[in-house]
Amino acid sequence: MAEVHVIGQIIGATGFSESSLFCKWGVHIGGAWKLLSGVREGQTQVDTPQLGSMAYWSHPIDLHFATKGLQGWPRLHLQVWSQDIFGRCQLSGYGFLHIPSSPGAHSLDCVTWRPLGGWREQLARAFVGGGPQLLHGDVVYCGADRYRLHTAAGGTVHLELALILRNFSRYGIEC
Amino acid sequence: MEPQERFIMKKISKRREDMKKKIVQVEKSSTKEPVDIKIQQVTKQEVLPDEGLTFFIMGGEECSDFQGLNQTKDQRLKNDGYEKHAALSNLQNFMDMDDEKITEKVIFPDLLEITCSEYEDDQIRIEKEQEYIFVPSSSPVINRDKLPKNMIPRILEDEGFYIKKKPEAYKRTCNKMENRLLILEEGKCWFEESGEIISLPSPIKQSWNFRKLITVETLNPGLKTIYKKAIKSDIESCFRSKIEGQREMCQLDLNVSMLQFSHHPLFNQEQVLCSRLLQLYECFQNRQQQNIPHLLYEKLKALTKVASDNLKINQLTKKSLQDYNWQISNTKQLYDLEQKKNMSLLHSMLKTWKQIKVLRQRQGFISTPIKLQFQRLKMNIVDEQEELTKVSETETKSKGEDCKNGEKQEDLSYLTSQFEETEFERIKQPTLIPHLSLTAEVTNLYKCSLHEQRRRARVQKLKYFIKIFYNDKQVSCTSASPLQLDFKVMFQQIFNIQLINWPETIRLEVYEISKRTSILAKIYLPIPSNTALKSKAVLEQAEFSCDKLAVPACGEVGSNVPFLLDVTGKEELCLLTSGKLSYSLSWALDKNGIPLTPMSQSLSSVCHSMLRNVDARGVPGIPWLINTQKLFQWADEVRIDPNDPDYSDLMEFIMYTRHKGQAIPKYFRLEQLQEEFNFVSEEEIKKNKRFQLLQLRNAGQLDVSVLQQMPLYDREIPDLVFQEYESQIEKDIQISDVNSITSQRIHSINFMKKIRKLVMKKIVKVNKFNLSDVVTDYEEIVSASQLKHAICQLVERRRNLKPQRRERKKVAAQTIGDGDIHLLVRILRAYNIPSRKPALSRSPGHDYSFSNLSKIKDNIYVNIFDETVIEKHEDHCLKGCSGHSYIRKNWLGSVIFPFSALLQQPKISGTFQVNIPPLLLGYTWSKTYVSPKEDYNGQNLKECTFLNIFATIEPQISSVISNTESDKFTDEPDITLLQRAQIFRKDCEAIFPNRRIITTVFNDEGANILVTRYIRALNPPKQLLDLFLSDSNATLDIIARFVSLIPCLPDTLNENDGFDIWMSPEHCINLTIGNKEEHAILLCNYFLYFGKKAWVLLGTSTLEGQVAYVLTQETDEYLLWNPLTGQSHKQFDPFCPLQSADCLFDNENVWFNIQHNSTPMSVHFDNSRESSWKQLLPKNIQIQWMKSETAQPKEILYFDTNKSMVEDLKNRIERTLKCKLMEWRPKQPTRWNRQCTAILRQILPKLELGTGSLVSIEDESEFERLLQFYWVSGFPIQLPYTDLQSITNAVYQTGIHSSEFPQTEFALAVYIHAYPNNILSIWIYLASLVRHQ
Repeated sequence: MAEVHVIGQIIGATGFSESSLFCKWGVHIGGAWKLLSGVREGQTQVDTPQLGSMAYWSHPIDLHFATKGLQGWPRLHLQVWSQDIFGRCQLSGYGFLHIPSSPGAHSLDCVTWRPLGGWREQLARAFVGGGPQLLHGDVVYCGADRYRLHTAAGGTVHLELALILRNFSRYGIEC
Repeated sequence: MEPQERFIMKKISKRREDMKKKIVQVEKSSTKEPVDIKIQQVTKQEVLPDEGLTFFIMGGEECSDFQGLNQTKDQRLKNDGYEKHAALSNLQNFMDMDDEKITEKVIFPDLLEITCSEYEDDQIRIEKEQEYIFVPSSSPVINRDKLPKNMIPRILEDEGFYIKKKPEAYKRTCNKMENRLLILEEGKCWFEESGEIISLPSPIKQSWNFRKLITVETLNPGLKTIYKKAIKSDIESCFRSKIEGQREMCQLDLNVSMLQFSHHPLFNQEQVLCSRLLQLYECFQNRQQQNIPHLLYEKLKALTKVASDNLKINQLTKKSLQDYNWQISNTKQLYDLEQKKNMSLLHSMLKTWKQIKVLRQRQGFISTPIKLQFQRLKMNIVDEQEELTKVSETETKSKGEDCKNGEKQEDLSYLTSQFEETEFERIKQPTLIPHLSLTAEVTNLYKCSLHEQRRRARVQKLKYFIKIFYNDKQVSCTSASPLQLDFKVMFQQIFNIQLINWPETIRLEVYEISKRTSILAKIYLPIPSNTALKSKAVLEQAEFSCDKLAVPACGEVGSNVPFLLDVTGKEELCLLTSGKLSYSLSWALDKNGIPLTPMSQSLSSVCHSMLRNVDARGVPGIPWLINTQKLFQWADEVRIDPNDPDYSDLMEFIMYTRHKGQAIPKYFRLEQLQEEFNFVSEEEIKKNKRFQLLQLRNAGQLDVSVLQQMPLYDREIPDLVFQEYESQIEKDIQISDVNSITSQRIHSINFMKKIRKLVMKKIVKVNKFNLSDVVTDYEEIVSASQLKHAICQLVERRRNLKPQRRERKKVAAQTIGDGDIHLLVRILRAYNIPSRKPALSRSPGHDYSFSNLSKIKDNIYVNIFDETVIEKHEDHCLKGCSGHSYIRKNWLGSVIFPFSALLQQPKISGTFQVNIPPLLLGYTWSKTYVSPKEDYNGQNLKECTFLNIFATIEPQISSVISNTESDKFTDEPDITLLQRAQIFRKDCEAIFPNRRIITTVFNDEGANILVTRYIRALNPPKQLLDLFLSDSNATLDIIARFVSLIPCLPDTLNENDGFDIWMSPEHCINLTIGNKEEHAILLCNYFLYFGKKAWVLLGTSTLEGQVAYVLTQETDEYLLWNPLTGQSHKQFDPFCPLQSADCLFDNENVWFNIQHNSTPMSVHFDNSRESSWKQLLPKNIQIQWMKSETAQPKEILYFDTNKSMVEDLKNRIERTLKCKLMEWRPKQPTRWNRQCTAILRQILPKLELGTGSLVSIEDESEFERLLQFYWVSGFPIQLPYTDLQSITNAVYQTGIHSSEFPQTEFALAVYIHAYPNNILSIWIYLASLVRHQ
């Protein structure tokens, strides 16, 4: 019966080597959770920064959950994509973060990574674009044994989320 | 610094040269020893001060030494630096000494000692090194040395332990390692019990402390990455493919099994004969299976038996007897013929077999395993013979008896019987049953002749493969398979072809690989019927042949080349390469067992298949393999080879899912211990009103006005909020307890809604947003006129009383709040209202009411009532004290216009005909009739009532401007045509923005097609055609009526966002629902069936807004048909509600009206005139394009409406209406007059077809009797059947229940006239009776 309201935005990204970036995002919740209102996933516009290197999206996130348990606290998974001059899109980073569990405004940074692939793939990526992508996207937020995955660092995605929690104290949960 | 340095170096080198010269000199003068010594002495003296120089020289030597020692580079560099440094420090000395050196050059040679370079012999060096370096030998080590003493090597693998494969290493390396370890003191611990070096992790150890091999197999499939090319994301196409994927996930399974040649260029003569024998045998077997002789025999038997039986009883007339005889002899003949055929077949088989045998003997080898054996069947023959003789006996007997009757026939019949008997004798031959087997031994290769050997070798070299073409595009290709010696090619491959397009052709091309690859034959496979599913598939055979010339080389016969068969000698043959392909082609089943067949095209199943499609596709995005369990099961059953690359995807998927499932063994547990930590149950969350409300709001199903803010607590939320939503759900569900016709209606309405929604979704999705849709430029704030107006206002003098005409401002619908809209309806006057029969002397008063307009779909009703007031004086009351007055309203008729009509046009004003029921009880038409203003030519207007109405909305609401750009999305091949149509539409709209034009619409699959595709002659129900065989006009009327009885889907403006979605007419008929345009199309198609010239006319009507009419060309005039009412208007009918005729189309073209005036009266409907009608397609295009016209089926099959269901529905309606009437009169008792009801029931059926004399005299007389006691007023209502609610509404409209007269009695009769396809015309006769005082 507890409610979690997440209101905020994906501000932008820094530190990516590519310039025209956009971000696909989604929220993954556990079985105890129920999305009352808002959209679960979305995609930002493509931002090409003219000044500085930060890409600004200012993409609104407005989610309202009801929950009967704490497990499966909502987590945000992000995919940062870049668009080249030909309008082709390629992946430049996967990222993931938990939605904070304390009420109030939070400014969050989400670092990203991308799979490296074999040397051929790296070469192809450098010259013709494209790149290795995860076959199963849920790896991003699932704790599969990732130790064998070789990745390269992407940039950082910045978010601002404000949280309103309700009725948690009724069930003995201090926030 | 540097130039200086270089300078110094130069100097040094110069001096060295000098010194060398000196040395040479010295050596030359070596005889002068005393001098030498002297000089040496001198130099020695000199050396002391000149230390720097020596050092310098020494440094140089050192340097070269270092180089010789091959030191590392940086060391050298360092040294160089040092050298330089040294040189610099010595620089000064050098300078000082310069003078002296020149004078004492002679002394220098003593400074230098020249020695040869040092050299150490390799051998010695190696020997020296040997002392320090250990090189293990690479010779193998004996096990004894490696293991502790007296230990036998233990090999675990031999003992049955599982030992993982060891990493590979060269034997030499291993040996070296072993040797090295043996030398080491503690080296022995590196050996395992088998004597090998330990190279595997200990199986007992928990964690591995070595790097795991990362190969593709071991990588967790969940972590697998895939390289994706950077592709420009085409959102549009991606959507399209997705949609299509959803729409038609069809799959054909093609199993190419085997190729069997019946003739091949490499056949030798024996094989030619063999294939001939095989053919004969096959033919024989087929005949055997059909067993015609036997059937004929049975027939003969039966016939003779009947004949003889009848004869015995002497029942036969002469004629029938003759008939029997004739039949018997006929059957006999047929039987003989069949027998003969069988015999000849057997003969030829025997002959061929003999030829084969001869040939085999002659050539001395056997190259085919064929063998033919004959079996004699004697028993059967005897039996049959007996039977036959018996038959003939009876026949003769019958003939004999027959002779008694007709003497003349005697001779003849006798002869025939005799003849037959002889025939039987002739057949008395033993039957041979051939048995063909492939058991003969083929002679071994080396025993054959050289020719044969070569031939066989050539056969084996040949390979074949088959390319598969789907709709003329290559889809796949089999692997090349070799030709076997028995001229079979085994393929045994199954191809799954996933389809998007409807299959037109499936072609297989057989290719031959010898030296070159060449095409052999093309085989077209028939497309399997929808019922041919994979489970049922059996192998079919397709024959092919090829006329390629193949010249025989050695022993073979070639192809398309004449050759002589040796055995027969004379026979010259010319055979073509031919063969049979065994294949099976079927539709695949998906994991749920639903066949993946494309939407069936057959008419009868259109409805069902569409429904299924909607339901199945209602759930979008079902992942490919949803039922993993089933998949596992299947994988286990089939035991697919995990290494087979064909299955790699599948295996990967299985591995992935298994891997995912590893942590969760058998039971499904998403989050462990979830239950324990839950603080509330699922139900509580579900029940929570606040959450429900939030979800409803999110789904957009909640009226925003109800609650501006979500209440925080449940207690603040009224239950009322959910009621509307819940009732809506109930409506969807509650269809179980109704009549089948009703349920069909509800189904079809829901179905249409779904279809429309789906199509809309598809269109809208595909319709890409333009930048202008998302980003709007700043709005133009002031238009010039507005500005002028504002300025003028300032200047203008104030004259308050001067009336001014003001433009009505259009207001966007969004800006209007509650209560802002007013609907203004003004009834100006009415003409020719039926007058009450002179029973009571009050003149009719008018009362106008219009009903609710809460929703935009509603119609506006203008009902005409006759209001009567009766003053009733109660007897016991004091006179004058109080007059009780009762009001009674009698419904006379109504004008209905939909609200959308008001939205589509600024105002509705004009004179309209009132729908007056055909038989108004208690009313007559006035004899002195005042004609309305408009001139009228002809036609009796005596029985028409007209109403002059003005209606408008205040403020005027601007309707949604639908300038949707749908040109992007086109599926159809004739894309240029569509573009053309779009351009045409835009051009037309530019000329006359107010006129309607539709050139392309979306069909039920969301594809954009031309409107002309809908038009094609369709057959009306036969029942209707039979009704008025002679009167063609009446037939047309009844057909128009039939169409008008199809319930109309109320279409509103914003529902479709300007997209027109039209179902095809046959859907319209099958679903018994359609919108205005579909009605018009259907009617037009029916008219075309009669060979009439008919067009669909789009336009606007004053009363109905946008309408579609049908225009037909009569001999001298044009008729306008309103498909919704079934009425026809002449072109010059002033009361035709059509206001503007904008656009015409038929199956060939679309015409747009470019005449100045578009009212039907002033329009020339001759569309061949290009000055008045702009046409979409020029004439020459029409012809080519018409041929590819296949949008509709040729014939509609109609089914009869179930009579019992109609009866049931009738009773239901009657019951409901009675209940409702009583319900609506809560205060007064409702009495039913049975007598009147009975009369009404008799009248009603006549009304449907009746045109002129409505009430017969009998009814009249009965009424007369009734009228003596009652004042009767009543009216019939006619309406198409949609649902009960609409009927009760219609009855409620009439207000018959509101009569306040005491002792009013009511009569109600319902009649349903059933047309085919559940299309019903409902008649309700309502009457109220008041007893005369």
